[in-house]
Amino acid sequence: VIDTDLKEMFAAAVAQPDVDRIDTGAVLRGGRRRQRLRTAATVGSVAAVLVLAGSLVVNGTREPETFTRPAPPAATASATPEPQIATSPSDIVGRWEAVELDGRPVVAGEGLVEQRPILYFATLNGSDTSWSGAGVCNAFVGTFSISTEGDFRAQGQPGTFRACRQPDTYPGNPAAVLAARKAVIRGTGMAATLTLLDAQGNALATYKRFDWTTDSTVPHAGPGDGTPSDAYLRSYVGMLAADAADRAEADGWKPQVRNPGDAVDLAFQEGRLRLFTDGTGVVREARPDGLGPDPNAATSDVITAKPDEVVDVDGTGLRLRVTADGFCEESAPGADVPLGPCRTAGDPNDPKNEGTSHGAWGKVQVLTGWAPDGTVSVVASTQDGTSAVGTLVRVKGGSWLAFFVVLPWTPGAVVDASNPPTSDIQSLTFTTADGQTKRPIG
Amino acid sequence: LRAKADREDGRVRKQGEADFLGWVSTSRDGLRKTAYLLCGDWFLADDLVQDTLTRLYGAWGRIAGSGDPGPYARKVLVNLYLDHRRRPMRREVPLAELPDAAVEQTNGVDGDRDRLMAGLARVPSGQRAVLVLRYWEDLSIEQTAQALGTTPSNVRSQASRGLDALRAALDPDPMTTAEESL
Repeated sequence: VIDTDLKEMFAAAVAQPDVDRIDTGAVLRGGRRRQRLRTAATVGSVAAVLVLAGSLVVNGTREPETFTRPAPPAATASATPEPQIATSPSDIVGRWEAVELDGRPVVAGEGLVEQRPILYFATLNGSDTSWSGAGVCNAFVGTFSISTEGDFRAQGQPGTFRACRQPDTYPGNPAAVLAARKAVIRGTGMAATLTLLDAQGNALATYKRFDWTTDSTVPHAGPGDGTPSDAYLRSYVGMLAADAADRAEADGWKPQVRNPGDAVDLAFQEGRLRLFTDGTGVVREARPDGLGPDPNAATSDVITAKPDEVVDVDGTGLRLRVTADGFCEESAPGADVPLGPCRTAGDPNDPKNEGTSHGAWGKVQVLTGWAPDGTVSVVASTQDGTSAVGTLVRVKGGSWLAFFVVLPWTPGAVVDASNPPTSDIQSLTFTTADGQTKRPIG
Repeated sequence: LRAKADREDGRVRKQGEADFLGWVSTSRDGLRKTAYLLCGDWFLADDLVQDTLTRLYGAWGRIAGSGDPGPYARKVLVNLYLDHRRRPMRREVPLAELPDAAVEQTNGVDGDRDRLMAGLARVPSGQRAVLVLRYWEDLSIEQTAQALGTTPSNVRSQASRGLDALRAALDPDPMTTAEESL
């Protein structure tokens, strides 16, 4: 056999090929499968290399280990807590501080009012729920629900229209709540984190428990420091009651909190720091003397008035005529504004409509600034802590209308969104903080 | 934008598939014949070629972009054949005598083909691959070495031994043949 012979023999051997049985379709299907596997393998390899490189970088900064060092126990090898899908509103109740929004980390100090995007979740009697989330300056408020299967739904609307010196830094804070379909909790207590996921499971926002102990922007005030600032009072809002109690006690107050799982509201009245839990409707007080609830604490630091006495609320121009069982709105002097309906204990819009057990509305406090376009937000509070936030907007004809929604930390407040309780303030007259502009209502 | 990107990906994929099928239509016969010479069985040859084409299509974007896919396909085919031969279940069973067909006294083309294939069956698979690539595919020593992933010197050695083995298989008693010719 020589080379040329072999060539001819090969040619003769294959001169009459058998029937072609190659399945081209199977070739294409198999080829595509291999392409997908190759792509997946490439991605996996890159990820593995990155992880390896990362571990080398981290390990490079550590003290070199010896072979005699015992391996860490399995329990400490995994430091990240297992994620738990929230299946009850109580799982997420509290005050949260955003650490990542819109795919970017939150930088403390950005923004003007709250300085950071905060999110509140609160419950009332374990069923009525509310939330509030600010894009730093302005806030959304609304209600939310979590099914036992973990489906999260939230509804909301703008709660404030504050005049900000700059646009809201984090509009994604309230937007994340409205778009969220799952709420995932990792860890417990103050170490817990909350992640809101959309319908596709993508992270919309991640929060950590608001920790007042490390928040240098929140002033601390004890019983001997005089009236606490609004910033100090607001810093309690949405905290878990147990945490709020710890904080109040650290500041020198002596709170009595019996519902540590509830969110709280807090006010300073007559030298007392009042801590309101929303689980039972029972007011718990934190008083310097530690005596607990004071059922006679019926006046506020904002308004103290006798029946039929007309008072000016904190120089805002809002004038109230306090009655025996409620209050009525008075026009400001010189303003042609009709007298509005009076607020009484039997008001159906009063969420704590409990007859005589409910005292008169004793205070109306304007908490927010005035916008250049005339919009303003007000917070109306009862002496027992019931409160609602209203937004005044100009409507056709130049009149003003207030839309009230519930503050998330309001104990017992209920507002029917289809029938907002605007009547009680439609005759209010506001004067801007600088006293130059009057805003008639109604 | 995503829909547009998907459409573009689909268009590229369709174009690649058309190119691949075009190459297959002109190359499959040659691959089948090479595979048959390697393994000696048309069924197994088709299996090897189908597997080869599957792997080729899986890497078509990379292979087609780098030039002629032929050498790559040939290398895959030979490797598949050698892998097949290494599998214990497919390993040759030594026989004391050649099958009946090999000793059958046939004349003409069929007889030569059968005799060749029977002889190739007795050549070790590595040497057989060298013979097919060198004398059927007309590859150079270097090209054959590249296809087999070995050195040119090893190819020369394997080719020499393969030819000797084939000669011995085709003519088991050369002395007798020589005496008869005298």
